[in-house]
Amino acid sequence: MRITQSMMSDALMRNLQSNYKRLDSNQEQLTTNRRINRPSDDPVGIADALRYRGEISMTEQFSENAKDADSWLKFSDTVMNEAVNILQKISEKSVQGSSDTVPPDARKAIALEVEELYDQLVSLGNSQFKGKHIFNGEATDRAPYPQDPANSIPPATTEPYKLDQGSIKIQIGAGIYTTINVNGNQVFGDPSDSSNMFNVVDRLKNALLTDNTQVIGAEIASIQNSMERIVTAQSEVGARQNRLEFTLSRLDDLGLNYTDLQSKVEDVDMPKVITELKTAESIYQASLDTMSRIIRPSLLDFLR
Amino acid sequence: MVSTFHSIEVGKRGIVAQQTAISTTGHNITNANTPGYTRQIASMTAARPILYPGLHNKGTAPGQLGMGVEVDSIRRMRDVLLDQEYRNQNTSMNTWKVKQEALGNIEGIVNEPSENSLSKSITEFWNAWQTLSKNPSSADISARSVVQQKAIALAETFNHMASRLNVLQDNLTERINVKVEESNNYIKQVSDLTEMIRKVEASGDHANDLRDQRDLIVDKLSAIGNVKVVETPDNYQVTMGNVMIIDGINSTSISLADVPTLTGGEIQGYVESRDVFVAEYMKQLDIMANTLATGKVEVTLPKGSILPPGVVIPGAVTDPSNPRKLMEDTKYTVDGINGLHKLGYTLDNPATTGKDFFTVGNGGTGPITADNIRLNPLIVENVSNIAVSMRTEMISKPPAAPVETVIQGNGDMALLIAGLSERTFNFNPMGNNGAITNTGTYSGYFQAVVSQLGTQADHATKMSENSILLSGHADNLRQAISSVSIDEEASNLIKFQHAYSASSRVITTVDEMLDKLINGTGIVGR
Repeated sequence: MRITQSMMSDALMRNLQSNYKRLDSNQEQLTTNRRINRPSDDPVGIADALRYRGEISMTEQFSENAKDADSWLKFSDTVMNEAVNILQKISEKSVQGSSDTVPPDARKAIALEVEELYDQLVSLGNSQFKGKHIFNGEATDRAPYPQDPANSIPPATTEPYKLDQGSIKIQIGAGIYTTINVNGNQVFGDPSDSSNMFNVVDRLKNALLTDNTQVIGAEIASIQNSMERIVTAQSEVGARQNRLEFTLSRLDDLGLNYTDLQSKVEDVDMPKVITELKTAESIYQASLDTMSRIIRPSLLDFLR
Repeated sequence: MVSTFHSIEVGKRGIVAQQTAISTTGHNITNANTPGYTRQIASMTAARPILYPGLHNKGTAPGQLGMGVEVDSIRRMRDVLLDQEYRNQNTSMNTWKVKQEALGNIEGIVNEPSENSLSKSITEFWNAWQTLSKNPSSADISARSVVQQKAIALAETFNHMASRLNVLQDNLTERINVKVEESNNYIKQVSDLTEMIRKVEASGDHANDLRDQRDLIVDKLSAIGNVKVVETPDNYQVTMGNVMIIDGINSTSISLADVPTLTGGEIQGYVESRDVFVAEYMKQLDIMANTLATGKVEVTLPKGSILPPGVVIPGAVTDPSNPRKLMEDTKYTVDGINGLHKLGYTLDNPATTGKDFFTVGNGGTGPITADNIRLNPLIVENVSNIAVSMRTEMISKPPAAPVETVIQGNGDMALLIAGLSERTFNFNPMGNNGAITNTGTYSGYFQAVVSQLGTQADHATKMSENSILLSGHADNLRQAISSVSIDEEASNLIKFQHAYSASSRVITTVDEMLDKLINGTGIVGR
């Protein structure tokens, strides 16, 4: 084949162009630290990359949800602890009041104290977490208990108070939901039930006022039952918290796993790309050298 | 008997011929870098000798005495078959170059993977609903604002991509018009040149440089569309697509109506980019926007939900005392987010069901597309119009009549919408809209779209690189014959210069001989 100068310079220009392209692609990968900068860089990998990105973001959201659920449960637990403490106090006072040796005046004083503690229990029942009533099912915008719950049921009123029975769910994984609220009925007893904590404390207070030591003795046992009910609810909350902790650590693992996968698909293999870049650079240098050597001389340079 | 001055004539012919050859060599050297230039050679032949066979008296002289040299023609070194080969490759190269460029543009518009792309907007949209599911009541309105803002962002991402694809489509149309104009300009030039060539060659010469120009223009035409050249001794025809643009001295312009007959070249590349690639991704975006808002998807309505009045789910187990209340988790197929959102209740009192979540913007009608999808203006105005709760209850405050009131702490609707990210949508309800897959998860569908785009762009890039190599090779074959080699020309120069000097020496020799004959003969004894 006959070769001419213009053919050689054309070929060199074409090859320089492809060297440039190689350099450009290597440099882009190094500066972005990403192997996939556009879909055509790896049409199969891009689908994986997008999926992993989505999964990572979802996992982060689930993990945040689980943390929120945990703080709601922790708050419920604190409230219930408080209620148990108050009941404990009421129980101690009542034991004092049940003794026949206590004069009626002292019993009245105890009754007043119990009444105050009763109000505290009501306000605990109406506890709010971030502006939401925690014991009223899904009706979080309304207080579950009236000011004097024991006297807001028949026969005192024809419209008894009622707690919403909805359960608040939070998603903590693909298709996995957890209930975060504990219903007031579960903690304090059904309003219409005579063993309801508010009813019990109210009866106890009345017995203290009327010096009925027999009833006081009977209600002390009921107080114990109320405490047990709360503790049972607490242990269920505890179990849910355990599950959440387990879920959280699983979500962390999952997040790490996806991040790892994403990095494998998207990230640059540094040593490989740097080596390629260096190779491309030296090829580029060599082509420039060749160009300067080959193109310049012609027969005319030797005709003097 | 040969003339006394015969050899002077022979010498003179030698000088003239070598001079012509040197001129041609100079012409070659100076045009070494001229685009489209074909090296020329002065073709020399021995002149016709004297003494034809005949009845002449042969006498004592030998017959067939040479008459020196003649340049009978100056020709181009060119192979027409290689021209056609190069033009075919050039057409194909330019088709792929254009397609690669268009697909690269679409890739830029899709902008994946990145931190501000559609897939990111979609994920953030789902996550916003997760956040809202935790804060459904009016106590924390900020979670609603997050959903509102992310929904606006998602709709705007769709709008932005659609409008950029529209602009790209317009640009491609504009380029097609420009390229049609450009080819008509070239057609005019070829036609003019053909006429000039015809005139020049009528007198038996070769119109080398004019032909070079014409071939160069046809090369340029071959970038725009597929061309075919047929040259016979008395005609020159060029066909582009199926239009005979040049037929001898007649020429025909091409118009947009002829564009569909082109099978390659820039115009065809632009047409395919516009009508196949851009149209495809506009369609896919429309399908995605439409499916998100109204595509059929099956969800599980949680038990205890209160259905809005008038909604009847066949086979659902409901509370005998309240037929709107579901007693079991119930599967139900809804029409996208819009259909689902209508099953929930806003913050309004008395309980009000949600409206369409996404609507057609600018007061338009018809199906939702990527271009017209908007967040319902009611929600843009007031976030309490986002329906999050799925439960209501009758609250009576005597003496007023009982009022149906929303249970605000219920976030089931937000959970259901957030859960749509894992549900299977029907992207192709009629089976004819060209969806990549008929059913699939929302993000899965988008991944398939991006993956398809990547495959097409990758293919175009590789084809473009291949065709650059192939057209380079075809050009090389052509250049091997036609291009100017400086070394070759330099050695020719030496050759012709020596021949020139030697020819003049012939004349000098004859001159000396004549001098001897005229001035030195017959002077014996003088």
